[in-house]
Amino acid sequence: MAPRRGPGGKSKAPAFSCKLDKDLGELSEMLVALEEFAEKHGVSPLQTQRITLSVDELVTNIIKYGTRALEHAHIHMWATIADGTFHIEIEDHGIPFDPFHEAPVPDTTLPLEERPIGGLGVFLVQSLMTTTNYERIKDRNRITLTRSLTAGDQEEAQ
Amino acid sequence: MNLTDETKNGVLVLSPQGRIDTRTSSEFEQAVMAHAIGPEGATQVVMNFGGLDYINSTGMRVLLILAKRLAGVKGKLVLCEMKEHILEVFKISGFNQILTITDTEADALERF
Repeated sequence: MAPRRGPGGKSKAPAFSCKLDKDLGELSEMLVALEEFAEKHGVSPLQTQRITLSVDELVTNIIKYGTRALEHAHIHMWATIADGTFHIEIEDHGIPFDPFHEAPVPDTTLPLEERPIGGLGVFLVQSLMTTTNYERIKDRNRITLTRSLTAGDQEEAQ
Repeated sequence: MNLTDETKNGVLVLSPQGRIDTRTSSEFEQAVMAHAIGPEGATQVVMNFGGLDYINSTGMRVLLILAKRLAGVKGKLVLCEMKEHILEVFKISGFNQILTITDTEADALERF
């Protein structure tokens, strides 16, 4: 889990990468390491939590659903910080799934008794990140996230 | 994740500490339901998040289940002492509209 240069990283921008399998324990450890990486490079605690939560929600879905039928998940995550932006890529070779277009959008205005249990993860990612993108490349899903670090250090929610 | 409990003025105060993520949320769910639901479970519950550093959507799911069950038995759940990043996520999810959230534990206990 040692930080190293991400894909296409020609600059000396701070970089972090790790591989994990279908293991929620490994995911927990990776999130703590990602948090340490962000804090070490001066990312504010609020921005760090937004980033950690977003990676957590997406990788949790990959482990629980996208790679359920596979023996090993081979999830790969890269993070870099450059030009005031935190950049993340997550790849897996599970079933093709675009979370940003295929996941149902929750109605956050429903009263308690009508609120369905679950289904918030992807919505949180889209709310907390500056950009989100999905591509299918050969047999792999690639998710790209960015979070601007130069703006939005106040609460996003109204 | 660790959960402590105490009773104050007849209200059960549950205080989770550490991180509630996908790995620890089922442990959190079992601990919460053991205290707050069941034959002798409390129906008036405060959840003090002062020691909670992290919660993801699987942990928030547990709070929604608890709030629904308590509402079904005319009980009540009040959350308090949330850190800024956790409060942000609760607001985005609209949880601040369906759950009662106060700044301090003392404020929370006054809601009963």
